[in-house]
Amino acid sequence: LTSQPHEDLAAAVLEMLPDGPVEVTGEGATAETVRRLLGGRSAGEAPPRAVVETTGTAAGIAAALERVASGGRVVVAAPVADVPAFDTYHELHVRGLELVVVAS
Amino acid sequence: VTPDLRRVLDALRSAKGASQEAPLAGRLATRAAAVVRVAGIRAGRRVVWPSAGRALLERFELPAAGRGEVTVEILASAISPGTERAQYLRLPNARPAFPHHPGYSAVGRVVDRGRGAGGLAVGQLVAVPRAPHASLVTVPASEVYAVPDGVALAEASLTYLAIIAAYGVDRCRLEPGELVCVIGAGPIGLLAQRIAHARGAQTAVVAPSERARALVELTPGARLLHEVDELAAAAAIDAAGQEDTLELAASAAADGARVVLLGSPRGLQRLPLSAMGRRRLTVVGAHISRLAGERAETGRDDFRRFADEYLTGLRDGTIAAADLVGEPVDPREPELAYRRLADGSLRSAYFDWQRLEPSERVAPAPVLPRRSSAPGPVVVSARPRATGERLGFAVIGCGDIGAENAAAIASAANARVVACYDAVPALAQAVAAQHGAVASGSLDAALAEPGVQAVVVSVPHAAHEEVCVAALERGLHLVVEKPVAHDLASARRIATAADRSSGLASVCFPFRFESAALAAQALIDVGALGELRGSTITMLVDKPPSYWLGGYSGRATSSWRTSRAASGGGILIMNATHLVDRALHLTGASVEEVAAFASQSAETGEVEDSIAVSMRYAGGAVGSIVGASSARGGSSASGLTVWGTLGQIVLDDRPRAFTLHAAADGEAGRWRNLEAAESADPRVVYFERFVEAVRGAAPLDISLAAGVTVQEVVEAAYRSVESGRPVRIEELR
Repeated sequence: LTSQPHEDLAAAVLEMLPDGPVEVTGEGATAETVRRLLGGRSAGEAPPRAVVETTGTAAGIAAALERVASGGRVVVAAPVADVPAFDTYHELHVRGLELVVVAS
Repeated sequence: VTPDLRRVLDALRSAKGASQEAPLAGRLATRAAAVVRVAGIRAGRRVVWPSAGRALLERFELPAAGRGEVTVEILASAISPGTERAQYLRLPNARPAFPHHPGYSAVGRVVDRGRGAGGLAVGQLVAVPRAPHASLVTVPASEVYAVPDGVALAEASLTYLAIIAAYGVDRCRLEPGELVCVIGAGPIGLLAQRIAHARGAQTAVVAPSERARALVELTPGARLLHEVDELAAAAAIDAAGQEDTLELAASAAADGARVVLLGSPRGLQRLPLSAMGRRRLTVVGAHISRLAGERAETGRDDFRRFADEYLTGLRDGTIAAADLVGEPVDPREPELAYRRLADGSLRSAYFDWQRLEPSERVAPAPVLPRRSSAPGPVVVSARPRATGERLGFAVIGCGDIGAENAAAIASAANARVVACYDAVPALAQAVAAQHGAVASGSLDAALAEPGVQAVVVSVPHAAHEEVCVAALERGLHLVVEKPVAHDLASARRIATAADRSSGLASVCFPFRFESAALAAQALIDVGALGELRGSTITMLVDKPPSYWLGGYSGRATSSWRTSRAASGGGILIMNATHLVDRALHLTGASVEEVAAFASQSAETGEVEDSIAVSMRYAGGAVGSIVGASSARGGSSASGLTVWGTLGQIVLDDRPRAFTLHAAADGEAGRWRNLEAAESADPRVVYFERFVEAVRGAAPLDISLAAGVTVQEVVEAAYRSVESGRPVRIEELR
C-alpha cells in the first residue's frame, strides 16, 4: 500500500519520456521505482535524451537541464515550488529543451 | 591590406603550400580556383558596430562566389527589433564582441554563382536568412531561398524571422482547428500567429502596447485578448520573453498543453513550476539554434520548409506581412537607426540598400592594397563678387584692432581706407600711411573727409557711443568692433541712433565667415544637428602682463583694458563675445536666463580674470561659458561646441562635426574635419559682405541688433556676478 503512490507517479513519468536513453536523479523511492520500471533504458556517459528529476529542488532541476542532451526532456517527478527568477534563456531556450512536471 | 583581402591572400598561400603534395592537375586546379576568387573580389558597404553604441557604414571586400556559393546584392535587410535592439543596448544574453557586423535577414538578387550552386540563376531574387547588414554577401546556395514573383522585397526580407516563428509554431504540435495563444505582438509574435492561422489553427494574441493591439486588430483570424485565464489554449507561445510572460502563457494554456518559449528572454523569468505540475504543462524551448541542431541530427532541412511556407504564403495571400516590415531606413545613417530603435521611436525597420549608388553597393575591387582616403572637408563659398566700386571708410581708432580692420578693408576688393583718426596721432598716421589715406586731426574731420561713406569704430568700448552716434547722425554707414559698447544701455542708445540713421549699421563679428563656421552653418541649415541640447564656450588664454598696458602689440600705452568703466569687463566682453555670437547665430537660439561667477587678479585690475557662466536657452537647452585671461600656456581647446539630438559640432583649433544624418557631405556616424584646405581671411570677407549690403546687392549679414543680443547675455552675466543670483534676460528689457 505504501509503495502505490510511487508506482503511480513512476507510471506517469514513463508516459512522458521520449524514446532513447534516460537518466534518473535522486535516491528516493520514486527514483528507485522509475529505475526499476525503465529496466535497461538507463543512459551511459553520453547526455541522455531525458532526465527524470526526483528531488524537485531548483538546484536539482537546473542540474538535470544541464545534463540532458540538446532537444531533450526533463521530467520532474517530485513536488515543486515556483521559481521566481529562472534563467530560461540558458537553461531551456537555447538548447531547445522541454520541461514537464508530473507531481502535483 | 584589408582584413578581407588578407584572408583571401592567406587562402591563396595555403593553397600553394598544400599543392606541394598534390598531383600536378590538382595543384593547377587549386591555384586556378584561388586566383579566380582573388580576381573576382568585389567591394560593397556594410554596417559595423565598432564599439558600444556606435554604428557606421564601412567599405569592405569579399571574394566572389566559390563552389556551391552565390553572391547576392542585397536590396533590403530587416532590422530585428528584438535581437538587434537587445544587442545594441547590450542587454543580458545579447552582448556581441566588437567590432560586430549586425544583421538578421535580407533579400537580394544573385549577381554571381559558383559551380554547383544548384538551380539558382544570376538575377534571381532570393531571401538570405542570417545575412549581415551589407550591400553584398557571399553565402552557400543551399541557404538562400527563391522569392516567388509578386512578393514584395521588404516582406521577403523578413524570411528569417518567419523561419524562427514557424519553428515556434511547429514546437506547439498543433492539430488543425486547435487554439494557440501568442503572448507578444512584435514581428516574431505576429508572424507566429499568422503562420499558425495559415496552418488552420485558431489564434489569439495578447498585445502589450496600444500599437501592437492595433496591429493585431488588423490581422485576419487573430483574436485580441486582454485576459487569458480560462482560455484553455491547446498551446501557448511566449514571444515576448519578459519576466512575467512565461507565467502568462501558462495561464492561457489548457491542462496538458505545451507552452513554447519563442522570444529570447533578456533577463530572468518567473517559472510557474507548481502550475506546471498541477496542470501537466510542458515548457518547450524553441530557440532557432536548435533547429540547426535538428537539421544536423536528422538531415531534414526545416529551414527551407519554413522559408518556402512563408514565401509561398505571401505569394498566395495566406500570410500577410506588409504591416510588419516597418520603415525603410538609409544604410548611410546606421547609428541614427539604432538610436531610434533603442529609444523606441523606430519599431520595425529595414535598411533600404537601394538608397546607395549602384557603384557603392557592388563594385569590382582592386587586388592591390591602397590607402583609404580621409573624408574631405566641407567647402562653402561666401565671398561676393567684386564690383570695382570701392566704399570709402574712415578708420576711427588705430590701435591693434583698428589696424587690423584697416588692413582688411584695404584687402577687400570693393572697399578702401580714406581717412584715419586716433587720439594718439602717431597711430593714425602709421595706419594712414600704410593704406594711402589721410590722417585726420579730429573725429569730425575724419568723418567729414571727402570720399568717406562708412566708418569702422575700434576705440575703447566706452567711447563707442560717441563715435557711432556721430557717424550715424551724418548718415554714414557704420561698422563697430565688438562689443557694441561697454554696457547694455550704451549699446541700446547706439542701436536707437542706427534705427534713425540712413546708414547701415553692423557689429564686427568676422569669425562667422571662417570656413569651419560656414561649414557648420551648412550642416545646421539642413537639420544635421537636430534639436539643440546645449553649447559650451571655452576661452582659456594666457595674456602676458604687458597686454593690460598696451595690448598684444604694445603700439600704444593705455590701461583702458583694466578699467571697468572704459572696457565694461574682462575676458567675457573683450574676447568671448565672438563665440557667444557664433553660438547664438549657429543655433538660432535665444538665451533666457544667465548665472555667473567671476574672479579678478592683480593683472586684470577692475575686470574679471576668470569667469564661469551658465545659460538656459528658450526651449530648455543649456549652455556654458568658461573664460580666463591667465590660463598659463593657454589652451588649444578654446572654442565652441554645440550639440543637438542628431549631432555635435566643435569649432576649435580642429573644427569637426559628428552627425547621425548623412547631411551635406554624405558622411554620418563618424567625426569629420570641417576646415577647408584654403579659405579667405574672414575679416576681409566680413567687410566685402558689408559693402555688398551697402550697395543693396545682399542683405546685411550681421546687424547691430545681433550685437545687442550678445551684449544682453554679457550684461546678464555681469549682473549675476554682482548680485549672486541668476538673471533673466527679460529683466534687462
